[in-house]
Amino acid sequence: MESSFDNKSVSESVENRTVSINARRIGLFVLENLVWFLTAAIFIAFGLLVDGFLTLNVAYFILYVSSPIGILVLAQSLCLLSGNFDLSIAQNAGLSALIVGLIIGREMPGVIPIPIAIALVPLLGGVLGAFNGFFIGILKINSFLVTLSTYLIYEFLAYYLLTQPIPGYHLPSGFLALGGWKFGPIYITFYAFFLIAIILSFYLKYSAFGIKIYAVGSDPETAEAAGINTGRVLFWVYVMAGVLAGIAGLAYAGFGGSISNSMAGGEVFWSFAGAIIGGVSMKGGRGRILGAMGGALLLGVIGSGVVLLDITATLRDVIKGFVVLAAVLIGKYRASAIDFLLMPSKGPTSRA
Amino acid sequence: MEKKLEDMNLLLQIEEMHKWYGKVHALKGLNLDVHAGEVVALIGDNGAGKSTLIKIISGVVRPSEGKIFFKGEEVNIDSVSTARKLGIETVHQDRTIIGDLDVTKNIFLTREETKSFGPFKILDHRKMREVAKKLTEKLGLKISSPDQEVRFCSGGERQGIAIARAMHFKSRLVILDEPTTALSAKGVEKVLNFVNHLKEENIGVIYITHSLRSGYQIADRFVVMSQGEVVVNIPKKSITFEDLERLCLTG
Repeated sequence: MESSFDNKSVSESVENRTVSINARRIGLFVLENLVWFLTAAIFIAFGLLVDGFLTLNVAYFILYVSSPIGILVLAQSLCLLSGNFDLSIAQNAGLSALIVGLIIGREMPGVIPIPIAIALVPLLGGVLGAFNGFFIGILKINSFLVTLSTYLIYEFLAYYLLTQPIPGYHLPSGFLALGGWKFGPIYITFYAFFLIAIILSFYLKYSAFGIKIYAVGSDPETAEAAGINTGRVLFWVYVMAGVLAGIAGLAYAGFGGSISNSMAGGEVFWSFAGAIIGGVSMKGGRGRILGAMGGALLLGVIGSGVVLLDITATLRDVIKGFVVLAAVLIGKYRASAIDFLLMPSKGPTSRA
Repeated sequence: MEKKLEDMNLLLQIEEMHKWYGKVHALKGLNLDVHAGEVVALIGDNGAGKSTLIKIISGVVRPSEGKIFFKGEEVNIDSVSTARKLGIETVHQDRTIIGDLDVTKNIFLTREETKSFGPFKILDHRKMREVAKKLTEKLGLKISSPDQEVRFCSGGERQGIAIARAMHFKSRLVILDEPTTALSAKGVEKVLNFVNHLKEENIGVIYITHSLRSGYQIADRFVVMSQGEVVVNIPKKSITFEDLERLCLTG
């Protein structure tokens, strides 16, 4: 009797375990890709609320509005993964495009060939990023303090350099192509965003430098003890973020169709929101680029949805704020749920 | 130089090592030998100079005076990576592994395996994963998969992962800095078992510890430090645990 009872309970527990492993796998899949499920859910929710939302044209529009901010989300994600952040990222985008736009559109038109002018913008973004990276990586100053300062510098330098916007017809049209031209039904800016996300995702996974970024973001002291030059890693992270900010600057210029001194104005907040909704941790070392990409698209869905609701612009931003808050809350519980599922199931004896 | 090569098994020799931190004389003409396949327990109170010595050997700190010979040749250990190139691996008590990275990535951190991908060199995750699996099995680590994030591992397992790293990269000398401090009895046993694996591979081990008991269990020789000097240097076969305990208590 005794032994048959034991056998039964053993086989039962084995069965339960198989079920729980499958449930765990499914649970992990859903949690790790939660941002995509959320995006789909909110998309459908707006579809039910707003007539004509569930159309291809709206979908293309969502891709379009997600892209400039999406590139900034990717840049911010890099900084967050390395355990830091960049408050100046949107000002970097605006200033890089502004300086080049000022040269080719007002100060010395026709001197610089358009392809070079276009390439100059990310280059300038990289230089502005390197300026941040120098203080954060090399001089080891807190990234909040450094980028708060450069936020102010880049912001007011833009106001100083340019008071009257440069209209699009003063600019060579190719300069606005990234943000304003279409290929097929979709704007080029989305292809750029998508391509950058894929390349960056691949790079972080398959390069030694990618692993170093995660290591430094997770535990800088141990990373340093393991022989990683954390300062150098941070420097290059900010350079990369700066280059991305420059590309985003081109996208914003094309999106607006002109060069102004507040092109990417308040976008820094959305760059954080997108990254965090996408599952990138504020504490560093955790998160995925493709998740951040989903976060940007979710912002796009929310942004487009509230535009089509019959409400005033200020109320729209209030609603956007609440939706972001909700997404952040979901993200918090998502992280602890993932931990719960990842916790290896072990016998009581193996806890040494 | 000729003299240095007499003993083929001699791995590390430190001669007349001094270290000043401003006015503090942390190491006062210290001498130390470590042989291949030998476990040297380094014992001493806080401030005895143990960590200074370890930092010098692992390339974190430079000595003020003195010479280091590794396998009979004088060496200049000026960085962590120089030490690693010589085959010196340090396992710190809590600065050993990165919690958010998985077991495989921790073992290979900064020394990843790569493969060709068109004109690029990319990381060979599959190969690294297989090696990590073999290593952890060999060491008897209870890790469900090499993809497991290390923050879910117990203290003993974390030390094991660091030791797996040392074994894979063919370290000649492994420094274990208080490996058992935060561990349960079971964890201590595991770590001692890992140290035996290192011995079997003819790797020299410097085992720094407060715990005489675990040190006595595993070491071949005891080096007791006090105020920057070696005060006792004695093989295990010449001393009983009780005598060692008494020696350490009286300094």
